[in-house]
Amino acid sequence: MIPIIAIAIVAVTSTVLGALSLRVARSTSDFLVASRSVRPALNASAICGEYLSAGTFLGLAGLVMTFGVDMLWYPVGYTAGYVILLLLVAAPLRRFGAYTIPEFAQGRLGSLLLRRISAGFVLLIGWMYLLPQMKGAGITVATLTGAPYWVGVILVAVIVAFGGMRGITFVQAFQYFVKVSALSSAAIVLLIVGFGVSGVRAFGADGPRVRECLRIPMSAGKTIKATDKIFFTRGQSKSSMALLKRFENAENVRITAGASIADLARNRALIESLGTNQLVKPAADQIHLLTSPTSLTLPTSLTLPTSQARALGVTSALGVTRMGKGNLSISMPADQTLPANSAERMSLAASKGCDINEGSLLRSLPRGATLFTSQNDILVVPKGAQVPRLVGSARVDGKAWERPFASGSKSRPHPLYAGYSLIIGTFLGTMGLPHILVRFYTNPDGPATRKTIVVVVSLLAIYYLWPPIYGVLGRMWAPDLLLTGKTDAVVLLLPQRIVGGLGGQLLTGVLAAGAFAAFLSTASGLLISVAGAISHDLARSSSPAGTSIVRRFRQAAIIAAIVAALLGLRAERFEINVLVGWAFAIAASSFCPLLILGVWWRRFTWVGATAGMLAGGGAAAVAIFTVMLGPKLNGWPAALLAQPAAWTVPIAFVACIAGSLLSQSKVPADTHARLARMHTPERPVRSQ
Amino acid sequence: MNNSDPGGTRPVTRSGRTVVTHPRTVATRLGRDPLELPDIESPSGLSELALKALMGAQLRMGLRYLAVIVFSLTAVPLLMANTTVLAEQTLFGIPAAWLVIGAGFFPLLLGVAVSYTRSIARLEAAYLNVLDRT
Repeated sequence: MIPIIAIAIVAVTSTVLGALSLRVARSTSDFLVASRSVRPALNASAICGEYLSAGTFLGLAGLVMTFGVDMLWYPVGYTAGYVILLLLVAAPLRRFGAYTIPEFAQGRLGSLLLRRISAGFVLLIGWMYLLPQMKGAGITVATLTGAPYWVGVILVAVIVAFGGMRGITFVQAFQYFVKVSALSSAAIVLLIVGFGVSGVRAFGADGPRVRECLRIPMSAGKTIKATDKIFFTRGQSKSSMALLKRFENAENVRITAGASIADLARNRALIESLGTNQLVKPAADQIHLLTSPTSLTLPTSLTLPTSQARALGVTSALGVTRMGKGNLSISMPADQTLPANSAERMSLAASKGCDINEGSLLRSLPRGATLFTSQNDILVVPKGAQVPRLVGSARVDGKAWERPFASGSKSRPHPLYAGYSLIIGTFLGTMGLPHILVRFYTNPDGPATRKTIVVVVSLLAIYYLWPPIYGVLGRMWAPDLLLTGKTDAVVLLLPQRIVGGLGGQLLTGVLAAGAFAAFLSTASGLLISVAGAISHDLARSSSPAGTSIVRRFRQAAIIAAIVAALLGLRAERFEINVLVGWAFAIAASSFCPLLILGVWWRRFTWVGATAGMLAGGGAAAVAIFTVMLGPKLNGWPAALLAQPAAWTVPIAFVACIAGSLLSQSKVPADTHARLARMHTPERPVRSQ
Repeated sequence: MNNSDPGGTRPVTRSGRTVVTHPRTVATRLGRDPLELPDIESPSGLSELALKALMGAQLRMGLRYLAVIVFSLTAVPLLMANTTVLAEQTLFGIPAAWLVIGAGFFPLLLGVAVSYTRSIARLEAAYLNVLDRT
């Protein structure tokens, strides 16, 4: 209840503040108004308030929990991104006076086409970055209230579309303190309570072990590999239980290519007579195959093409794995250790720390066995046992989790390349984020911009110390999330696991409020950028009257929010921080060369900038969409496409430079004046 | 109020605060120059040569500091990938690698940021001094 109240408070407050600021607003400018006499500390807090998103509030802990130490490069890159911004572009950009990247592009290189292409990338990056905010909201509401995933997505989309925190410096600065105090205070309590009990056992372990018996509800269609002996209960009807019981003692039954299915087909009547005909419909790419009881004199080997398995309607098998296209393999190791009597089973489970009352339904899954889950299955992992692995998931265990760049797993090949590419993407991508640049104009001049960034770096450093702690604690206290794949929710779940009771509720409330502040502030900052790009850079005609500009801007904001929500609804299966990393990679490959060369290179032309943006940003976008939507890849292709920045950023720079050198007649005539404006130091204000 | 607004085009509200209005609304229509350059010859009438020298000095300073960051962000991963030094040392049960990446980089980054901000301020002040004398 408390967490729901906390979310409601944040949502209502931001809506009210947004509505108030809208009433005051007379023109679009007011959406982006800020007092310019903002001091660096306040301004830096506002920048951090907008910058720290769902990715770092929820996603980072989830990634650390799943993949370990290599994920700590994310916050390093996010922070270093501001330092490179400081070293190369911050003060000149402030002096130049453009508010958005498309405006800088046109102002510096004098091309409307370039401005439009830049606006296109603002949309791409903005929506890519809105996805994780939407997902964060979806899983937060789902985790805390049990509501469906879409509720949170729609909630955030509506709030930011119609109200939101319209770039109000003070509100954004307040957001930073909400986030950092929520994350740090809860982490300190959790560390004291959590480490006091268990020590630092996440390190030096071969895999995540449960501290006390866990009941993990599973959804249908997952393949589980037991790394220790575990129990499970079937969510199917009792009659299917009866059938399962029969072959529980089966020797390995293996169905391989080349044999006949006639025997299984013949047994269909028998299967149905046992009452298992009310079977779950198989998912499109997966077949739930029911192993036949040994008493049916099943041949030890037979082939079952996918279509026939479907035709048979067989489902809910033990230990089914897929064997190449269309064929299935069944492996059912013998397990004779479970008592036949249900009372005995219950006491056995109790002796393992599992107090359950489904004794009659309890099955055991020996070490090394695989289980294909059906609806409402519950895994029961006894105290001290390793959490079983989800086949196909990318979880990393043991040394690979703990040591930097340890041997790559199949799903995370070439970790050193991935690490470098991640560093490059986050390092160079920060400057290209559409919602960050505009915040610099709340600084009066170049030197103040620099001071602001110094404060930003220190505020980020304070903040980034905390998320990894949740990841490590999550490994010990909520390892079941590795199995259900809901690691992005670990920050929100830990208080209940570690503290529990009212204290746990309060901490969850604090964290939920912080998380919601993160989604709302980042999402509204992004939405303003995206809507601005639509209504001002991309829309064809422009009318002079201020009112209609506001109306167009609001319409664009609503359109942008709808698109973001629709995309967000489909984002559930991607890790939050991975989505954030992709947005950075596209930003690094498109806007970073434009900004750096635009600030420093006098021979830069719009032809070169366009070529670089399309080649680098385009390549990064294609790579990422291939990973998101395409088939699963392995080895180098997988590594190169999943972390493209290391090759797309150089492509972008080379194309920018080559394109410019080939089009020297297009160098703007006012290059000198514009460079002079960017680089001439301001005269310090002399005090009397 | 300060007088260091290079563009000098910002509206001032009744309260006396300078308000940054988005130029999209007032200054820019598509197809028009989004920025006004009232002093097209630059504030100080900077010559081509002087600008080159100034930009060169600013860029060199930025790149020097950048080199520190690039070196450490390249060397530390290489060190970690090829040796187990940092993986096997622990502090309070936490492997050193976790502490180095998770916390150790931030002071370095902050140090670079602070030091650069001071150096570049000195460089620009010296430049203005020279400009005043000539």
